[in-house]
Amino acid sequence: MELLSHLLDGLSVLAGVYPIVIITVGVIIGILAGAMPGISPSMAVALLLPFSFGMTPTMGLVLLCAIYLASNYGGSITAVMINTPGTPSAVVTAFDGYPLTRKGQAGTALGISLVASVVGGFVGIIILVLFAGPLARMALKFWPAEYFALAILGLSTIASLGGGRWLESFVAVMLGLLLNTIGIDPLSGVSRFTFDVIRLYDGFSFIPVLIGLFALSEVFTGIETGEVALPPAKPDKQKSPWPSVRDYLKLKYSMIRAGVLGTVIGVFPGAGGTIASFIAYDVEKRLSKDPESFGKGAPEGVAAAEASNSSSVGGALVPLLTLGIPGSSSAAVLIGALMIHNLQPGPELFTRHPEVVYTLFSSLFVANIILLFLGLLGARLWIRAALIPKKLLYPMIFAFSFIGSYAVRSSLFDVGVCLAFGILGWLLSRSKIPVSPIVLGMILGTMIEKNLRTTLMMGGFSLFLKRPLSLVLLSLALLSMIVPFVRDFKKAREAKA
Amino acid sequence: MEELVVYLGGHGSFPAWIAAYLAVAGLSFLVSRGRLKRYRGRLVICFSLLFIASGFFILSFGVREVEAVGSSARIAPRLWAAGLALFTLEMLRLTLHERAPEDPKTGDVKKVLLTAGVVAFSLWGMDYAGYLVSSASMILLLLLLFGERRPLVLLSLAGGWTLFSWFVFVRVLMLSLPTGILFG
Repeated sequence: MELLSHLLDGLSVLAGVYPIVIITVGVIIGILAGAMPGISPSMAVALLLPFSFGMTPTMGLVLLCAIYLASNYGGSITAVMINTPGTPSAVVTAFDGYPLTRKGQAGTALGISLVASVVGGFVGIIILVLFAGPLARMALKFWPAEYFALAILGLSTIASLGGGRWLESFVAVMLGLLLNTIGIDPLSGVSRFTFDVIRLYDGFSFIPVLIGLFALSEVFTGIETGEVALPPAKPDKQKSPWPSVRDYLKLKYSMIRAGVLGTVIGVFPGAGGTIASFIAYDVEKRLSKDPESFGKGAPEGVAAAEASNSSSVGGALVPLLTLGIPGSSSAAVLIGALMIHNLQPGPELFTRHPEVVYTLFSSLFVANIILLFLGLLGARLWIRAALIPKKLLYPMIFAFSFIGSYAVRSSLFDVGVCLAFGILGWLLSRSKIPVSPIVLGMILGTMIEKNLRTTLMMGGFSLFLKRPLSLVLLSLALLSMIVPFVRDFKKAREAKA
Repeated sequence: MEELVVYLGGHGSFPAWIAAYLAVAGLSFLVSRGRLKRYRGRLVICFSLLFIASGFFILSFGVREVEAVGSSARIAPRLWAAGLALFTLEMLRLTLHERAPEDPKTGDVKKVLLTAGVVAFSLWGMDYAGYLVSSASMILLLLLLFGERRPLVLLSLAGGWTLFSWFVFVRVLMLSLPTGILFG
């Protein structure tokens, strides 16, 4: 009952022209950004961060979350229409969405992807609303040992969930943690690795690092691979009817199942929408009476991929808001946004700024409804975003990156940091070293170090083992670090045999 | 020893660090001859990461200890440097045994470097010409670099961006963008 009244309070904040315009603009920008191949949701949120600077913290977050939510759907439009996923997580949508378009059923594919996205989004938000509060209350009782163990578990899952690239993910995490130690030590106040450069005393500001690693590195990669010179793909212009309500109802269980699965997977740091959609698609294929139809235009495949992808947004926000641990790259950017507005993500956000949290929850519901309307109205219009040539888009990304990096501390040094991290990200990605673990390492670094050293001061290393929850979390972290080793060892043995 | 660490931790040590890095990069080029040539990029990354880890470890000796705090500010950097070195060594081992992914085919690196150069030049120019002029010139140069030749597109994008950023960021959001010495 208390939850409902908080949500209604949140809705009352949104009752007005200004908040609705903010959400609508966020949804439109999100769809457009998602539809443009080469612009990931995290890149969209990072690039558009400066627009939130002049707003209240609540409205700034509402805008960014609307962009995050809608960009996950936007990627599916180009996946369905021109077999070019706008976002990495929309790759799975293309498996069955594009074959449907080839069969002349583009309307069916677009309709299912939209409705599944909205249903999945609702499932994710409902789970977020139900579980975030109790989890935050529980987290308030955590000791530093538990926080340390939790952050380590978060980092270890990032690495172990990084597909076949677990070693590279661990390297990236360690690099992020190490870079985070530059600046003033949070406990003793002594300077570390600053080379007497005053601007380094505060360490690297998150936003320029995020923009550099997520936006500029991808642009540099696009320039190197020649994508910048490629003409945009042309969509199929034939018209086809959208599905009926009965068609949607036939897919209700697929959508709900994938929605729940996507939310749960989204909770794990580093997992995100891409892994969620792959797993949900696989589960749906296994449960299907006609698994052979998957990959050839199965509506269940489109529904599962989209519902899980969208629901992962709600899942990723659970650890972000309750524990201060980002569940995805885009959530990592949102942490930066919270910090810019002087809000510390974590359990205290619920006690100190409940109005921000519940308005944000309510805005996600509203954003999802607006997404449904805008998706129905303009699917063919949004696809035009994909037709913007990269050679026109890339210079704009640089210009946006400059503003975003500069505006945080009014420092040109930060713009240089953004460029440097862009080049670093490009170089690392050439060696298949992912960049998101670097960001997560940098974000979680301070939390890990503070809690590690506080625990050592409170009772020494044994305290990590004496606290039951800390012991469980550390064991899980160890397990998730060992799993990829064992997997590789088994593979090598099988290959030898 | 202490004097050396203090020297290495100051900004006067940059030439020494650059020289040391060039030596490490040279070593990685030497190692990546012959059959390992297809892993050259990866080997340079591995050696560079090991260089970073060693650098942080050495510099951690120069971090001041504050006894009253009860825990050393050296702990975390040493722990992460050790972790980075450990995982990078494993990556290096796999690469030397040719069990790592090969370097991707080199694309248009020259264009990437030119782009970075234009962006860096524009950043340098902001101190003098301010954000609006500098970013408009950057957009113009990048469009030309990427092959856009239509004058109307070039001017409308560069000019449009200047107007848009001035109106949205300066007038509406009231952000103080760099004005530069010439216009400030």
